[in-house]
Amino acid sequence: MAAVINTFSLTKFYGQSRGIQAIELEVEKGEIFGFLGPNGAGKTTIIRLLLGLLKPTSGSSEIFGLNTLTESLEIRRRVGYISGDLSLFESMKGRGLINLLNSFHKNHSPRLDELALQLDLDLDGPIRAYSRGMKQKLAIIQALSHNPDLLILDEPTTGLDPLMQQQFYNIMRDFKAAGKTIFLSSHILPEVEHICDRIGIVKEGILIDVENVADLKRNKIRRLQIVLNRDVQAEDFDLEGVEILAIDGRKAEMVVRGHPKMILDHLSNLPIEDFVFPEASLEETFLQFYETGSPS
Amino acid sequence: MLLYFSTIKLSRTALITWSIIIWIYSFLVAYMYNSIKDTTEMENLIDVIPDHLKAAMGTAGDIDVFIDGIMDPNYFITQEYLAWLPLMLAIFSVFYCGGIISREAERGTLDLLLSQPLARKNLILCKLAAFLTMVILLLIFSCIGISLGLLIIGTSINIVHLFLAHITIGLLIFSVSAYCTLLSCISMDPRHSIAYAGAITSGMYILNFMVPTLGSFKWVANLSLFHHLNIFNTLSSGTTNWNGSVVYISTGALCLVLALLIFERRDLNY
Repeated sequence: MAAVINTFSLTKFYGQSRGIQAIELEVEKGEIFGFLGPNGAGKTTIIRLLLGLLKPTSGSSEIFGLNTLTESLEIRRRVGYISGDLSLFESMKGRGLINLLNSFHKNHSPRLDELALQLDLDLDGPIRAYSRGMKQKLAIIQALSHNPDLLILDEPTTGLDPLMQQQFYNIMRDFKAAGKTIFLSSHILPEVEHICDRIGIVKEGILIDVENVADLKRNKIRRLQIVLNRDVQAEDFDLEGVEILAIDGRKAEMVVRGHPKMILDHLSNLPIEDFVFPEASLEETFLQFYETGSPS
Repeated sequence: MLLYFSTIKLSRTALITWSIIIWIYSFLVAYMYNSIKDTTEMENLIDVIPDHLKAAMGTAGDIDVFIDGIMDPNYFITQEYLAWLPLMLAIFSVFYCGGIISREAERGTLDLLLSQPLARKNLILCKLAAFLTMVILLLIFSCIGISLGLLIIGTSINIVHLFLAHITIGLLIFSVSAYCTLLSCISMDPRHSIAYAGAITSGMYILNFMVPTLGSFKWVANLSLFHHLNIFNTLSSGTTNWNGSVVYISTGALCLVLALLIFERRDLNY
């Protein structure tokens, strides 16, 4: 598949302080790429470099094979963007703002009313009267209304209620189904897990890993709490992929990596009184990443 | 084009307020002329006004104010109104153009605009063009206000001269708005950019009316854009200070080019 976004040792320093360092990234056409990292990791810096709002200290980046520094205007014709720090012209009406922003695009086919209906937003109200969630919906509409080929989203579901989040995910899936690409920056793990195909993890300005979500799910880490009808011995859980965190008499807490079948088979041989084995989430896996730079 | 009209629309409150103020002020000054044009006390008062204060009022030098006991309407209009109009419009420029980019950056709307296929230079040019359109509208209101006021009291001045004086003021405001825009592109904090623009503008204004007190350093006054304005001469005889016009246009063009270059090359991090 052709790469839509390419970065080549992309580096940005703000004076002496680090922004991002030597980022090598490739986002393929038709995928939803999640960009994960804590606040200050450099996610927004990369997005601003891709949009030509910042100039790299060294390295370069391309979108659709076009240089983001010298051909930014052409790139922005084909990109929809939602900023993490949402600001709109408060004194305008929703429709007026979208019309203004659409006027910068050539060959656009506005889908205003269709999108407004999908997201249940009245476009004829003044923006200053909108709630945070309504403003976020308007930002989503402005990003989509000119039929972009690539969406760059920075925390796009902030302020949306759960119902609207689902609606938003559906719109994203339709967008992907049309062969288009999404670059999503987020720190909401369930969101990334829910819609992304691949994930890039950034820590202190460095891209530490790029993984398929499916692979990550297979290697997910779960926290297992168990109560036996006798005191727990460390040898009881001497298994590959199991790490004991604490033993307190008959109780034990441990992390389990990989497929749960092995541990479940093992548990059936132990005198179990009770156990808690919650649904696996990527959270533990990512915490591991941030602590060690590796999923295992 | 829509950005240009939207900018004017978003500034409509400021535009309407300034239009009303300028129209009423110009109309009232013209209308007042009848009540004092032949008072001898005014003649005595004008004689004792210090030179630098006359300079501030735009009427420095030896001027025949009274002809056959009647005050020259050109003198009255200049001293009471047209000398202050550039200052009022310069203040408008400082607040508007001093934050023309930095205010958008502070609000966060600069990202919204520049994530669209909008060239940075077009953003500046559109917004500055919208501002200058508003200034032109204000100058037209000013011309109408004075003409109407004088018409009602049955006094006339040369309309072409009045128009020329307003064009000169417009050129001055173009240069002020251009350096204010430049400062707004240099500092992305509107408080700083407006403060710098205000300091430069007030410095130049003060320098201009301090000319009579500068002695052998009078040449310093050339650094003030206001110094090249001679409204009374333009209004009374139709003579235009072409050197001043060249200074305004070249200063404005230079600052605008610098603003475009700086904004095009700078990082937008704030």
